[in-house]
Amino acid sequence: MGRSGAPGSVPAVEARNIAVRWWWRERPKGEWRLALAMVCPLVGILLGLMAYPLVSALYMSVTDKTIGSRGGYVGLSNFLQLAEDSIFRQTVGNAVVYTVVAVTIKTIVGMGLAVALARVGERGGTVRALILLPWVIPISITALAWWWMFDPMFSVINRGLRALGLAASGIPWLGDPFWARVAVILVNVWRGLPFFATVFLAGLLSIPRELYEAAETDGAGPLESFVRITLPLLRPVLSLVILYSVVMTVADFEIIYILTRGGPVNRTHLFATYAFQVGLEGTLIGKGAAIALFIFPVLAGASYFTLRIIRRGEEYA
Amino acid sequence: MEKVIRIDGEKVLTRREFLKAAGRAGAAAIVGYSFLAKPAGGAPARSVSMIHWSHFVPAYNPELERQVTEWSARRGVTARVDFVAYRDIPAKLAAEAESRTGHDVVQLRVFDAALYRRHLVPLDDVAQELERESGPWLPLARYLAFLEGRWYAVPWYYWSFPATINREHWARIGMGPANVAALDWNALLEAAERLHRQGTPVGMAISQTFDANDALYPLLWSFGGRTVDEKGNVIIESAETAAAVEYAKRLFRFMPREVLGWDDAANNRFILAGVGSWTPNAPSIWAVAKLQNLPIAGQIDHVPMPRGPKGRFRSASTLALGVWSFSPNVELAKDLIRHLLRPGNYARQVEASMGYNQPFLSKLSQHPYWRNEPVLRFYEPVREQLTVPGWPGPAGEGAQLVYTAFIVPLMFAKAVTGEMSTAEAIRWAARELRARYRR
Repeated sequence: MGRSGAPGSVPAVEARNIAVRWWWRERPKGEWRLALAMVCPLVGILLGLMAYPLVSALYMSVTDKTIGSRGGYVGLSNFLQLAEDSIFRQTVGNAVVYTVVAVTIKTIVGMGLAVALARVGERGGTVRALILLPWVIPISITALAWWWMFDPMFSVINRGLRALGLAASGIPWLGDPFWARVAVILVNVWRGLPFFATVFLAGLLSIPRELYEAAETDGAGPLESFVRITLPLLRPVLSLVILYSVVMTVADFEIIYILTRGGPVNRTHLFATYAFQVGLEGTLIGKGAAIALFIFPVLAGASYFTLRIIRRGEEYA
Repeated sequence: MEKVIRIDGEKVLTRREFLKAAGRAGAAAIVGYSFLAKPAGGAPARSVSMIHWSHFVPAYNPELERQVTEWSARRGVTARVDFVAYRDIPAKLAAEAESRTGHDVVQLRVFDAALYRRHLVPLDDVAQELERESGPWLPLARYLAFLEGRWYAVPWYYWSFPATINREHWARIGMGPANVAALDWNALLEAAERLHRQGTPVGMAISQTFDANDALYPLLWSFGGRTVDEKGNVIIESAETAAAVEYAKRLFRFMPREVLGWDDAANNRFILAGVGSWTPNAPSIWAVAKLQNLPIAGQIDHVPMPRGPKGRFRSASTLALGVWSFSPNVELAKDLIRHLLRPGNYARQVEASMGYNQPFLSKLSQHPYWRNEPVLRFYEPVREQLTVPGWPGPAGEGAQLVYTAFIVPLMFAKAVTGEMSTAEAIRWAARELRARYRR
């Protein structure tokens, strides 16, 4: 009773006792407790590695923090400054072009590749394994190889083009704003295509052959079968892959950082590379966080729809 | 009742057994980690670490390592140098300052000392002692590291950007190195046209790379253009800047278009491949060619940057040594800095860098290496006005932000590619400069 002197302490103690009793009564028991113990580390890791950086970035984006200083609260000032920042506006345009063009090409070519592989059937096992190579090798290594292939002096691509008589003076791959965009999109497509083709192929192989046979009996041609059977049945897979790819492409960093560092004339900067330049190289970490967070709504929307598609797929399964 | 964990209906282990096994594994992991994280027994050995860029002259890195090892053996401590790509140093420093952990001795480029001075230990005692021994300091050293009356870093060495030329290409248009050394920008333009026609063009980076800063600022300065005045007021919108940009547009016609995407090593390859005739660069191209016994080494020479209407300028990339305020080894770090700047050690660094490293202390520049190597006769001592991108503005955040965002190269790039007119490109640069200097 030694603490009873503090005003309001009795109800507080009672409330605590009620809470403790409730917790004791409702505490996880048996296997449920074991399950909880096993899940907790994962939740901890997710909170530490995903939630904390996100909350930290959100906080920094509303401060004028520079490297090593705490910074003060500035509200939405960083975001408003970005609206006036011509390099940032250029970056938004770059991200749209990069994502739309790369994902479109990957979808079309990936579908074509998947259809071709499906026709080859079991004989194409080696080819299937080989086309996965670009996707499984770390991009930091392959991007360096591409960088060398685009080198103005020693480009093997230019040498090939010259030998074929297609470009007498070679193409300034990384030196010209237009060709630099072509180059980074090309590498992104090369990298992502195997993923598209493999997932599409899995989707194609899961479509019952009877449907095609029935369509053929009814007089449908290959194109009609593709439009009326393949595409509708592949739609969940297609949507999932496209949305996933949008997330990965718009947030790309390595390809740009290694090949162009955002140049020439900022024509290949994406949010991640510009955020890195402003936040770490330029030390304006508050503004850098604001740039990085600008894509957050896009990524959150894409993630939401991806999850919905996955859930719908589970319902149908 | 004992709970049993089953897989596919088969008993694998009881819950108690599982928890015991997990507990033992956890304890083993903790014990193992504690052995790895701490030295076994006794007081931990003192350890000093240093970050340095991976030098463009490869022979320099082992010499630096040797000197640091020699110092550590003498002091009875352990020491190491981490070599990091030059381009990655800014992000590395930022991460260390933000996390308040990292190397004891850090290399600070250009305005880094001003940018990070809140996190650096003042090194007045070291700087003054070294000045007594080998001084005086060059004015550039004071401009960059002596801030608000204190030395926040000890200037170590710089490398500057004369023009690197291929003598044979110039000889084919009837010009020897002495003629090239006397060129002004207009004469270079005429020569560039002829060199372009013979398939051996001139080239300077007009891209988002540090070499572009060091090539284009001297062009701007020599036409009389400045980014800011001494107080940091943006004064880039001037007839002089317009003249420099217009000139760059004319010169660009005779350069390979790839200069818009060049990185710091691209102009090295441009000369080493035997293609280029002229490019602003420190003598690393020659040094690498010589180290690798490439035949082209004998064709390479260095001459001053061309003269403009308002003089002849040379840009410098500078390196100073600083000690983080959160370093646990401040006194040892200071001692290491003294060691690296002792005349004997410094001389060996100059030799290992093949004359690339230039000193901030006047007595250290009396090394015979530069006089004995004819290729470096225009490199050291510097006869042009020597300064850094950001001059004559105040050393500080604004200058560093403009430097790392490549605002001046971007201004030139926007104009030479036709993305903007000369006036628009300059206005764009003025806006970007104001945004960075007003902070």
